[in-house]
Amino acid sequence: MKKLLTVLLAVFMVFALAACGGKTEDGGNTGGGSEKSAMELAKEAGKITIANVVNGTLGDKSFFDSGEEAMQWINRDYGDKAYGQTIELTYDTATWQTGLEEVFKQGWDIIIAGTYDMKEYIIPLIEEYPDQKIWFYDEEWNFNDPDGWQYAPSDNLYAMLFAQNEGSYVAGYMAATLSQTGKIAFMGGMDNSVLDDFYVGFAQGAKAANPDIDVKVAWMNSFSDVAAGKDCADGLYNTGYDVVFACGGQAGLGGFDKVIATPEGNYIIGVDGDQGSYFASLGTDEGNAKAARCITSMKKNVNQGFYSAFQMELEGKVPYGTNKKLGLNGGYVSCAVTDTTKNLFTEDQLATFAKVADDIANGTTVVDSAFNHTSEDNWFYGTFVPQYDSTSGK
Amino acid sequence: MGQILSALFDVFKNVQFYNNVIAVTPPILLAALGCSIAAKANMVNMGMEGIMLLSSFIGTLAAAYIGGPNPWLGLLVAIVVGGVLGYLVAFFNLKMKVDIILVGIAMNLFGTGATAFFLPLVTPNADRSSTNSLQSGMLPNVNIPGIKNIPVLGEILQNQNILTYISYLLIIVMAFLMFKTKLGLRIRAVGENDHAAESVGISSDKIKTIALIISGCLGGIGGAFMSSVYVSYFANGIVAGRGFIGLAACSMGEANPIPTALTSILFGFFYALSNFARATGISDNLMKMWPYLATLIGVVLYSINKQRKEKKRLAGLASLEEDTK
Repeated sequence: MKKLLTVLLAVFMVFALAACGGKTEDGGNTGGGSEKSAMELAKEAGKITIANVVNGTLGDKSFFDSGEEAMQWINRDYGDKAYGQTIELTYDTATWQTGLEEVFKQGWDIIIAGTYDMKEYIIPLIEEYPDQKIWFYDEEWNFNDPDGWQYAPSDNLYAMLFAQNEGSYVAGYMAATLSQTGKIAFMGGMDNSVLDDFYVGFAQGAKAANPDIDVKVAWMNSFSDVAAGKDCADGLYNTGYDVVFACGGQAGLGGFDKVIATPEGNYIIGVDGDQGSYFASLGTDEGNAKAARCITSMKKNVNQGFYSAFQMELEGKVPYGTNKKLGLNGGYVSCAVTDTTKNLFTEDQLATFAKVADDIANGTTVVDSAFNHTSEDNWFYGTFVPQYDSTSGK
Repeated sequence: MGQILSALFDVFKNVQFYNNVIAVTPPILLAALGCSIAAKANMVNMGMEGIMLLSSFIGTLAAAYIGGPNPWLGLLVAIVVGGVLGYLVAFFNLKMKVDIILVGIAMNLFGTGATAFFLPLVTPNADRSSTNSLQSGMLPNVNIPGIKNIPVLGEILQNQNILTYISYLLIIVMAFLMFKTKLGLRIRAVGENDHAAESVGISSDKIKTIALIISGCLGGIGGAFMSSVYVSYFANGIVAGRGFIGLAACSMGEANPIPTALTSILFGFFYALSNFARATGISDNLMKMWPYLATLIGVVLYSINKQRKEKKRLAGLASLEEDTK
């Protein structure tokens, strides 16, 4: 009996470790095995091999899934020339360094990685493999000044910056158009430069639609705590903010749980993927209720970014050694139009939104960015984000 | 400054704010009560977070798969799972002689790992972040007749979730259990000095096991609260540190139910304030800091006081010795 239970404890602990450390071996190549991985076969066939490394797991219904979709598109459309695969590092940061190292050792032609979190892990590897082609998304690099901030130690790095400020501008414009109370809010996951960029665009768009609008920023301080998202939204809806931009991954989904518990007239905006359509696709009453309150979602079309980068790669035109801004022009970011959007807004309003988006795409409207700010913000008064003032344009 | 104060005043006038305090406290409270009964038996239930997570997960699955949306069954299953996990903690510590802190850490790691691992396997869409595609239902809000008529408090206390009321009732139940029952006396005796307790024929292992099972059951209710009152689904890491905050509240309240509960409510109060006081413009990070700062100050004051008493006692002893000479 005692032995059995000892074994049980051992299994218990192994499980804990295995499940945490998990899926790094999904990378296909487990090292000294004699069987060739799909990637090695592709390489022998002379195909371009692409590893899309995600610092999490697939199934996030936004970012990572979108990247995986691009891999599928590439395999579908250019299967004879290229092979793309997504490698999940899981959310356990302890495995990221070794996992990433393993991918670099495998000799892929192109490695895709992204987000602020991954930077510190990838920099030493870039130094070690200066010839490795890397596509990095969602973070700006400095290619010129070796002593400067965020210096990229290689010129074989292509940085894709999704212009979340441009998409958020349109979302803010829509929110301000819809708001009855004249108060809208941005509910972010954590205070970092990318999320600040969302906020700056959102606030500027809102002010463009209604100069008197009150745009509040609120941080959930988590990307995973749905309950925190719900409580945060509770505070906002109950103090008169009737449209909330829930911008914080899984935590933001808590906002959807709150909005359906509040009276009619309160709305929410999704992020990254088309969250309204996702909830509608569940087919449950609750899902439909959530979809009915979701006026739009600010989508980052990571799939578009990767796919077009690949097409450029075929022509040898990828601008390595530069930061490229991918915005409304080319559809790299966009605001989803769902049935709810069509119900809530008139045809004229929808046409206005399209015009607002076009103006940004063709450069008529310039959207402010958090990356350009020399923060004049006040630490005590709420946030590190500069409070947007419509009169001075900043 | 005047502006901030008037905005704060607006928050304190807002009934919704107090409603929110009442609504956000229970998971912390349940975890804290659970930790406190274990602590009374001199056991640190570090694994509270993992127990809550696992019972929330399994409870949600039971609620969704056994007879459609059935949150009551989910609650029951969560309590049972919590109890079983509490028993496991006791078993590994008392029978297998594993350090209780290690068992707790293993439980927490196991909780995050196992839920993340099994989540895509048991959901129809192979969801990896939450059980959004399952219908596990929510426990109902109830209107207790008469409560509305209580002046001032009535409006705050009415129309809360049934599990919220139960959670607050549990404070009294736990206080009663600890101080007015035979079992409570035994738990406290074992906690104070298990050898002394054993010398009068109490099996300390048995009592400690019972305390940890009760602790686990409370954690189970807390887990069910997350996934059937807060939101209607289980999401990865849904407990998000509430088990640990409960552990902190328990040590601040010295494992006594009433002070522990008050501490939990204090945490809940500031948590809700950080969500409602945005109009004041005060940083919400600053707001969330208050309870911890208060804890720190409280602990410092408490130990200063304790030291002073100790000195006095020693001085008294010394003078007593003088006298006897």
